[in-house]
Amino acid sequence: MSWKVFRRTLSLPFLFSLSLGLFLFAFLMSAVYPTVQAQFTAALRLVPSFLKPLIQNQLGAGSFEGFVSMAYSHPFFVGLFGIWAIALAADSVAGEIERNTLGLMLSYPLSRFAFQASKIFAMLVGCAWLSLMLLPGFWLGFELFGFRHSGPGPYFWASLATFLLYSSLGALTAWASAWASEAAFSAKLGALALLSSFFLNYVAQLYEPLKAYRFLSLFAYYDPKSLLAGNPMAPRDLLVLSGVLAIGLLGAFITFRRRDLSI
Amino acid sequence: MINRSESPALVEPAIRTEKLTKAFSPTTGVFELDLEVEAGQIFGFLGPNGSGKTTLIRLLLDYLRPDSGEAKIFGMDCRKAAGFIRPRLGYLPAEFRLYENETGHHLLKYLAGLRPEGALASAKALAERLSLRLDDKIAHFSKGMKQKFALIQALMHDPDLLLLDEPTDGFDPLIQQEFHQILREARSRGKTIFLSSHDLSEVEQLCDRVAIIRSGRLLAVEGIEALKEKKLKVLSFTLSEEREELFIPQATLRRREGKKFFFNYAGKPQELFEALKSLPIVEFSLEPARLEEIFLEYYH
Repeated sequence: MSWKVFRRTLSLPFLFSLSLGLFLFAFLMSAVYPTVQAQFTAALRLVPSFLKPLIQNQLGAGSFEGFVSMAYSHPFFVGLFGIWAIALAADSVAGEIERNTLGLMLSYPLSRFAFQASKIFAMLVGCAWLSLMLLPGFWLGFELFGFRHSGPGPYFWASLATFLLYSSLGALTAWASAWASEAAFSAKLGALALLSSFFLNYVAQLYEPLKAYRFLSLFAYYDPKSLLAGNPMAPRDLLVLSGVLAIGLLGAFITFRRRDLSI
Repeated sequence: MINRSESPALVEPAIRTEKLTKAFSPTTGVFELDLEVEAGQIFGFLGPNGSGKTTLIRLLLDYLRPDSGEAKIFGMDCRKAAGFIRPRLGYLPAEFRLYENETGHHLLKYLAGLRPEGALASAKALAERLSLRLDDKIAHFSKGMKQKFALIQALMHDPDLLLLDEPTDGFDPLIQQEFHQILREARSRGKTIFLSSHDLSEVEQLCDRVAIIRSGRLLAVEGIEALKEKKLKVLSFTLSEEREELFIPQATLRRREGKKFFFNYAGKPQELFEALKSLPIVEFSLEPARLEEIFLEYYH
């Protein structure tokens, strides 16, 4: 690991912009909760009775935690978080090759592993930071609007699950980056993994024939609603997300170590 | 002079390759390359584009992994001991880009931070010597300025071995002279410079020894003077009368301008004089060939 490469990769202006976006998003979710809750209750009266449980389940109505759990799977949150994980991971090797800067950097006293690990570690630290960034927004909502909440514990579990989900997506993208020579190519693969995973999980919950394939989605192992309701993270979910993270990182390191670099 | 007994690192050749092969196609790459570069030399590595010059440098830097054979720097395997080799290495790639959004000073500070203490001060002194302003953004640097920057970062830690791949592309003549002086000073401190180039006049001015490579295979490794003096001479003479054809043993006709003939000659002077005795020569010259002419001879 090189701290200099790490610090340089951890782009603070970019990270703080995303953090601010997530903080405001969380606060907005808190602020609109009473209004949405009232309208939701009224609208639910018009929905056919067989759809009511599904909608209630999907939207997590009933408690503040149930409502804000939507934030963790909201496309805005997924998009902002995904941008960080995918952009940094895609840049780790392929971006340097594409910019024609890797040849110079690897002539310094940095092993391939040290260089790549420093860049990936910056991505992981950013993911850890961003996974906590909804909490200040929610906390401000509690303080300003006086909502009842179930304490910090469930939120930290949700943050851990969020970190594992996006880190594993980042690790898979880093693997693609270690093999590719263009950042855009590896970023596209990462984005494809994120979007296909997100939509497969979503559609599989609504469309019976796809249910059998839901296990292929990383989002199937990510259940912030359950975590915010006070349940512990399922060992299976923890195992799968950690496993994908470990496999992605291992794949990235081995691929980069073994490949030829025409730089 | 370098006292080899005082410097154990110099006992081993700076670079040694044995049967080094990396094939991209039957004619692209390097093939069974046996090369030895002694420490304390400026070594020229000549060849046209695509001849394998950059491939060899990438193998030495462990960017490419050989199909067979081995490459060593200061006696250490380029792959297994890359971590020990890199601190002693400076590299200027043929094609490179710098982080464009930063000022030269900021980037140099970052790069010097990856080198031992003192590298930044040395880099600033080099920048002054090469008249490079570091306050501008890299994006606003001209090609020559970027080349200077790349050179400074390669030299700032006073490496034992400098790998320079087409280093002076973009330099003006004054800076080129200064650059040559810097390299000569490095050599006088016992440093080794491996200079890959197709600029023959530069190699001729600077290098102690030169290797010529074609299609990934070494054609010759010689001392520069030996290469120029022993192998080839340029013969030119003017006749007093027209001649359709001339045959001179060990000579190759390069061109003809009326009664004036130009040959490359690879034999001994005595034999040449014997062969020319019967010709009505009014003007004659025999000079050592310039490196360019030798180079072309190898490729014909």
